[in-house]
Amino acid sequence: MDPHDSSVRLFVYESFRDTGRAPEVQSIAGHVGIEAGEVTRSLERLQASRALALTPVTMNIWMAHPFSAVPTPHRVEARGRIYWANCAWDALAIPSLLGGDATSRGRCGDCGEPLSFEFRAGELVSGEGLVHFVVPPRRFWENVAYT
Amino acid sequence: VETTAELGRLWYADRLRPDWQPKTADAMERILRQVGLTDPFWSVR
Repeated sequence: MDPHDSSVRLFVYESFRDTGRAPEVQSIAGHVGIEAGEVTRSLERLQASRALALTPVTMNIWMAHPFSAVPTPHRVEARGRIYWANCAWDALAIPSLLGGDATSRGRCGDCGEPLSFEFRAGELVSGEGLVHFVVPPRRFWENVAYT
Repeated sequence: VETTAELGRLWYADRLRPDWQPKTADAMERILRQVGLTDPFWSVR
């Protein structure tokens, strides 16, 4: 992987971890020490390698799995802030990636009942449910938003 | 839920590491097998 791409990717993930949000292009450029145009090209290469996903047309950071840059029905409360997850799987993955205590909240995709899962030191300690994967792994990236 | 949480822990464990690289199909299969997802649905190829 291009060294700039690695730096951009890591900064994106560190920003999600530390703020719950995606960084702006200018912020990435300042941190990595490259021009904004090169950041955009780097983000496009990172999307091509499935390191993250950009919004269509505007090419903003949309997903750096398991984090989502936009609010979703799957939210994780940890470190005194809110993190958005892309799906139920990601909502159960963010706590372990952060490593601390967390509450993952969502709604049952079948009946709409509120769901809550508690994590201690990144480990699931309470909450019951069944996760339904609609898309098989070999097709995850055919339409990653649907996945 | 427990299986999915463990899958997420293993799948995303390296995302905050500077040396992250895209997972190979073999690496994906190892993780899926490790959490017991062996049905053909979970094939990555």
